[in-house]
Amino acid sequence: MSTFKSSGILGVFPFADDLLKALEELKASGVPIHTVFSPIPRSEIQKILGQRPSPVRFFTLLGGSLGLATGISLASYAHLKWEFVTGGKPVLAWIPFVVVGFEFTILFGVLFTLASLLFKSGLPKLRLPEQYDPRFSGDRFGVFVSGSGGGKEMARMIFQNNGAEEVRDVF
Amino acid sequence: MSSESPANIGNAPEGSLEKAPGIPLWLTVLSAVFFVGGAGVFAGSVGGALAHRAWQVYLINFVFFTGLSFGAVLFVSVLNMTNAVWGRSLKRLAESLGAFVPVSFILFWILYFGKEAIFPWSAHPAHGKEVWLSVPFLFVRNGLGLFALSGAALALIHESLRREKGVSSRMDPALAAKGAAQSRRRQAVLSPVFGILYAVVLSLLAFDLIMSLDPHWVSTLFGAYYFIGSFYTALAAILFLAALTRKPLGLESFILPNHFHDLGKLLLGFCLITGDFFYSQFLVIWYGNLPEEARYVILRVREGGWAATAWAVLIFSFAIPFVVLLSRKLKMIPAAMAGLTALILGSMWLERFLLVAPSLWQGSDFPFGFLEAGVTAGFLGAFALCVIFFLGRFPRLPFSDPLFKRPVEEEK
Amino acid sequence: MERFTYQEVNREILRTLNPPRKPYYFLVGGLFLAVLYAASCWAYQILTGMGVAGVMHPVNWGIYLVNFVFWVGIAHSGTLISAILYLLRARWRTSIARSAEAMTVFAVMIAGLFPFIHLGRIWVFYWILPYPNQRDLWPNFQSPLVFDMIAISTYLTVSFLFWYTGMIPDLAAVRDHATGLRQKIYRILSLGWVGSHRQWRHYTSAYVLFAALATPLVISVHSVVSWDFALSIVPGWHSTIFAPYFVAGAIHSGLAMVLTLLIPLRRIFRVEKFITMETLESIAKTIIFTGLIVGYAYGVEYFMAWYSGNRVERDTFIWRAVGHYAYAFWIMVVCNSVAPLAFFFKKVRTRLSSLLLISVLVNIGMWYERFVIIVGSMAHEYNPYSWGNYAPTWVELSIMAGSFCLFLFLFFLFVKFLPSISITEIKESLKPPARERSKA
Repeated sequence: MSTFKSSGILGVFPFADDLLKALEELKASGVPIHTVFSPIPRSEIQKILGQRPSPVRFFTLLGGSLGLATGISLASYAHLKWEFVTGGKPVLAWIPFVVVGFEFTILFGVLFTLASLLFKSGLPKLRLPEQYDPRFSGDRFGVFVSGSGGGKEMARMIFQNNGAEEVRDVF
Repeated sequence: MSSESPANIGNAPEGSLEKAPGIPLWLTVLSAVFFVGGAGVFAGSVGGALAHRAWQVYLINFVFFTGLSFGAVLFVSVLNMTNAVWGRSLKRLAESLGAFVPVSFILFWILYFGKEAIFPWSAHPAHGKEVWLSVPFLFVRNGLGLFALSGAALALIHESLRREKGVSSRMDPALAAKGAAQSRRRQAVLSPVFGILYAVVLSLLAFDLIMSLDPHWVSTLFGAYYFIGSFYTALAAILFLAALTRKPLGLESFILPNHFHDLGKLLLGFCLITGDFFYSQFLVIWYGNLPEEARYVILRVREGGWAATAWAVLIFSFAIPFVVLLSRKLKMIPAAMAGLTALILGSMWLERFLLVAPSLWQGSDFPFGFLEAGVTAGFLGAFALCVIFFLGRFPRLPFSDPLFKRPVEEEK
Repeated sequence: MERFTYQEVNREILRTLNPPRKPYYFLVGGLFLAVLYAASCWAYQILTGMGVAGVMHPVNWGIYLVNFVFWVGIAHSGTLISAILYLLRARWRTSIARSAEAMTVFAVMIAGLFPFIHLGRIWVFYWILPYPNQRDLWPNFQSPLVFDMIAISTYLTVSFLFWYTGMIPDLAAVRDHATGLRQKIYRILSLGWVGSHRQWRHYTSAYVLFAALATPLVISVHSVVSWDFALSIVPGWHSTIFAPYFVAGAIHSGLAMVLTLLIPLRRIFRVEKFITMETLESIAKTIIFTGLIVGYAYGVEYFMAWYSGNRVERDTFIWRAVGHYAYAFWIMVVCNSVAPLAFFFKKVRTRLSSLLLISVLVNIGMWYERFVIIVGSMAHEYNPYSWGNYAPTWVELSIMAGSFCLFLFLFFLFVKFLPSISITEIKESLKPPARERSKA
């Protein structure tokens, strides 16, 4: 999240269709939307806000490739150290190393995915932002518009017109 | 002609009332030419010096196309058992691939005439296995198995088609509804029965027709490897057919890019499973290094011609499909999928070739030439004729299936 | 699923986290004591030596390893339900995914204990890890035991992270509902999640990727465990079908354990409206499928033992059915492949008592399957002079009982401290609250 401490106006909506209408009106009037809170993910919200698919998957690919390389090189390095021929098998046998490489691929893929998820989401965070309302993890949706002046008043009007249960100024 | 939909189908979407564009005549003619030509090449060779090669490639094609055909019917059966909605538009196309089943049954019996060429143990009985590996017993048990499996497959397809006929004729709606419910129940029972028979009969087929070619080699996973590989091949074939017939049969609004995406994901899954089964066998045999087991694998990965084929199969059946099918965008382009699945089909044919040929072929040269191409074309022609016949006669979508709805375009 | 409001979902599920009544404390306390007893038996074994366990030539792998394979198997269905069914978009998984994942994490942890217990000289366990050392010693990466170490630790890490990541939005819901010290704890656990659109965007993507990565992992882990046996040349073990056979068997036992745990759970917490009969029925149908696979594997193994003409192989398989451990073999066959066939009948799979009974039978059968494979083969190998039988001692049996108590102990703690049904996913499966609908 960009700025943690910001002032603006928050609208709390009990209904999802009201929320979507409000978002569309905000977008149409050019008011910049800071954050949309919801208890569950909604693809419509992502669409209205014009968001592209998350870049997390590139980190997964990176992690997976790194894992494969790590697994195979670790196994190869260990075997080249002593060059034993065990059980009649060659020193560097790619057939069993497939298993090692595969497991490391998954492990690093998962770790990189998680790390990128946390990093991109700004987690972990000790303090919750001022504009967060505990009901957002229950059954309420929220829209936070930051800034002051004209945009704020426009947002207030749009919220009130679209059935916001509560409109709160955040300082 | 039942490609015309009548007025009283409740959930038939608009646009289906027009007659579907037909299958081009040149395709039918080409298939017939392939079939006749291939049969001719085969018939000409079995009498002469190339008899062994002819029977070898006949067997390869038989196991490939039979597995493919039954695999397609398994897809239908799985759709029924899981009450899946996403794949319904593909159901009829899958059933059309199953139209080859009765032909395959006939082609099985022709194998009897090549028993000396195909089964090394018919002339020299395998020590300790005389009871199991005897020609009459083999043909009886496989014949019965294929009869049961074919019967179940045809019954399943018949029930699926019956509802179309029942709905399309001017039947009393109450009777039609009762018929529909009965057909649904029968499909619900036939689907798991077919599933179980598929696993058992195709395993038996694999053990008897492929594994026994090297009588002293065993692998417990071989049967499962064959039927899972056949299912993978069948999925590729369904995807190929869907990509090819979308425009010609007027199915664009029913088979959307998201269907390709979903089927592509399923294909990726089975690519991985088939690869995993292959690796399970390979790793265990390589590691144990027991001479009686390892011989089979060493022949296929060390000797020149076979080794090249093995690498080709690995790359084209597993490596390339894996990488391509990871991409969401590529999965949704029908043309790309048509190309990929054609590659998979060819490569899986080579895989069956690699299972059969090294066990049978005694010569020093690589047995792939005009004869193989000809006989394969013959089988391909016969298969295509079956599919064309089916699609020409029956509705191209399962209109009367209650789980079939007009698909909604999903957001990209 | 019934129509619920989001408020109802939160309330019903958060209600399960309320302070428990007396019986709970007694139960948890009792389980903890049992775990302490088992731990003291293990300490006794470490002090006295492996002789107190029954493992001896020729059966060097006893019930410690039977339990190892058993618990790894139980772990698999959790990942099947959360990851694989997620990718296949099966709706019935939603209410059971969280508990199933918890089951996975606990089962893998317990499974991981058993190689240590079996090791005897536990203080040198780290020798199997690839760490740089003064003598430049490295493990043999061609060994299936090293595969095991890598695969199990990867599986533990991944399944824990998958479980935890899935819980973050739910932990935020608990935090927002709690006060005081509880709120502080859950605030830390939920990492400051607020459900902003940015967070959801990355979260949904990451979750799908986790599921896509966990799926091949789960298949590979039990394949690796099966290769502990298949890569040997012991008769009855050296068989190519082991990898898929073990994976199917793992899912079979895991699903049965899910049923065994969830049928009482839904009753005690009164969450029948979430964990519906439809869900339980779907689990039962999947158990038919895995049971058929296991039955197929039994059949093929017997056929191949006969077909191969290998005298030792044939003898091993005959001995399994009529020898010293024949009782275990027949329990295995009946419980694993015959009993689940009853689920073909709708009456059987929709009645709680029969669901519970068959799930317990399958668990018993799958334990005995591992016993038959591991102990049965080692007791009757190539050389008749070295045939010998094995019987577990009180130390081994105590530790085994302790493992079950530990599993239940952890699971009981889980259901009281963490949301055992995924609040967020249930809400996602409902229609969002809309003004038009509320008017009507």
